[in-house]
Amino acid sequence: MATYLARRLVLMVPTLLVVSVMVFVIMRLLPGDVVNLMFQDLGYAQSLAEMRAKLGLDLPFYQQYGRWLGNVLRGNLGESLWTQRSVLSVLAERLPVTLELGLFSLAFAVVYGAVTGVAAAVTQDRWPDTTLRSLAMMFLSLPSFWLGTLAIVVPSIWLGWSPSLQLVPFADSPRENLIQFALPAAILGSHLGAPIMRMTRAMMLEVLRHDYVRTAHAKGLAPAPVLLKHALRNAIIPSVTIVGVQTSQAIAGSIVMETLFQLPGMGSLLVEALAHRDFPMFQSLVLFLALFVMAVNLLVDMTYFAIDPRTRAQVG
Amino acid sequence: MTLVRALVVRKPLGAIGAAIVLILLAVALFADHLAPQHFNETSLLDALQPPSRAHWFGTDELGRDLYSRILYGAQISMTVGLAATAIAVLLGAAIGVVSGYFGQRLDLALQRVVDAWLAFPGLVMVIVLLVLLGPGLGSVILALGISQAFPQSRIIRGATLVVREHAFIEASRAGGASHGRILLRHVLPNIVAPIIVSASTYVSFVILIEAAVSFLGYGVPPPRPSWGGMLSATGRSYMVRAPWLSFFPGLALTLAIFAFNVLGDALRDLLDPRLRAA
Repeated sequence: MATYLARRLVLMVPTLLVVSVMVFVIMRLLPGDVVNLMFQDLGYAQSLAEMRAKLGLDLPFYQQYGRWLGNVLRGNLGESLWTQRSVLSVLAERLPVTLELGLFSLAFAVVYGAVTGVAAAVTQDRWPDTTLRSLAMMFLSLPSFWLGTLAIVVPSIWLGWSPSLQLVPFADSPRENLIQFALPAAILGSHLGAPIMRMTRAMMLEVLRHDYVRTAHAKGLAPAPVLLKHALRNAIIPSVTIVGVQTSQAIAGSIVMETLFQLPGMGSLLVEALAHRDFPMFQSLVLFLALFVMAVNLLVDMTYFAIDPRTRAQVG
Repeated sequence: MTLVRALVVRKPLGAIGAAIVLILLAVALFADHLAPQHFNETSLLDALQPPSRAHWFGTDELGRDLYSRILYGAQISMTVGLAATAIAVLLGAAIGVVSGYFGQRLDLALQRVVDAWLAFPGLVMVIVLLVLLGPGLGSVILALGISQAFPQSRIIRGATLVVREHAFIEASRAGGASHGRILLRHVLPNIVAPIIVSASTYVSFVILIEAAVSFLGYGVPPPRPSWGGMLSATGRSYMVRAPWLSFFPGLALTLAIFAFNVLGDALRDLLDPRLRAA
């Protein structure tokens, strides 16, 4: 298992290098010159050339790339071209918002998906199953930004109340903060949870047919332990895989939700950085997110070992 | 023909999905004849009218008939959904088959690129590609097609790895067949099922992502009506005064995604019983 972990960690290095080259090259290919834009808006240099030199954008591409990568490796993510603030400090400010939204959504998705998935499997083809499956299909088909829009509009028309669109920091008022995140997280989570529900149901149906489940029932074990210890544990791995895939979908979803609910998180930061052609900001953010997604996927693969001892033997 | 019958008899919900898809395709094709007004016919005197007999879904802030704009909106969702999926499938199949069949170093290298792509936040990648390609329907199709090709290639690579080990591949290689011939005549025909199955689930996803980027303001530029675009700027600034502006486009979008979802589910169950799962 240690060799497997080492192998996976080693493979992450070339992947991250490819990500860094990709994001660096793509940013330079985008139309629109940041120096021109900044010269007009901020104009803290005498000429375009001077401005370019100040920002280090006069160097050849490979030197710019080398400089950036060298700094990143030393833990220096660079400074925003526009605000001159360090990327790290902006990240520290915005990350908690996205992390809170993402974790809430994923937690909602996992609980909703696992519980309704098991419930549907146990009541296969009866009304609870049909209802829960229809519900999952509905959540899968409802665009979260539409549901979010309705969640803002409908109560304000009928109740004269609308969710707060101003971020309440957790430190100021934990209760208000949690209430504020509950709505977007539930909307995003129901969308993310639907595939988990469908996978859990399908795998449970598969596993419940096995002999050892019948044996467990036959020897008089209570239904709950059979379901949770014998069946669910063997059925859950594909659902865990889905959770891994959904981490990057949760990031995409939070970009949309942050825009809609006006939460100042990473998603809106990324979109702003792209619009401003803020190279260091955008590059470092993408690299950070890529590392995050890869780490989560590795974590997901490692949980297989905890859930299913057989997988430990397979990787040695 | 048998597939259609199987769909109707064994998967009624899938058949309903297929019917909705056909209706949406017809709406997209004949929007010019079906819509009471052109999508950009403005009439400021009629701005922000609630739904009525004259304007079934009401009017927007420029007095344009929302019902007509939603019918025209089907054109974008259907074109993008089908064309981008086609690009994703072709490109994904090319990458996946080459990576899986040749294996070794080429596979290792290609898979690092695929890994890198998958580690990117997907929606951001689509937006970056859209900025790079410039505004327009073609760009939206291309950006979505390219970004979906990589996850698609993973599935196809997996299928290719299985096929590659079969004895008949070795036999034809021993018989002196070229790589190109083996790929086209032996590998491809054996992985068509997973390709179709995964493609059918991509259409609804692509439609959703198109709407999301339009919602964020990076989609097909106005005045062309896209369902996601209608939900963005205008829908939001007039949300409370004119709720129909955010209600109907979202409903149309949900209907389209639902139809492709249930159709995709049914096709997967019918075409590939082994994959009968999520």
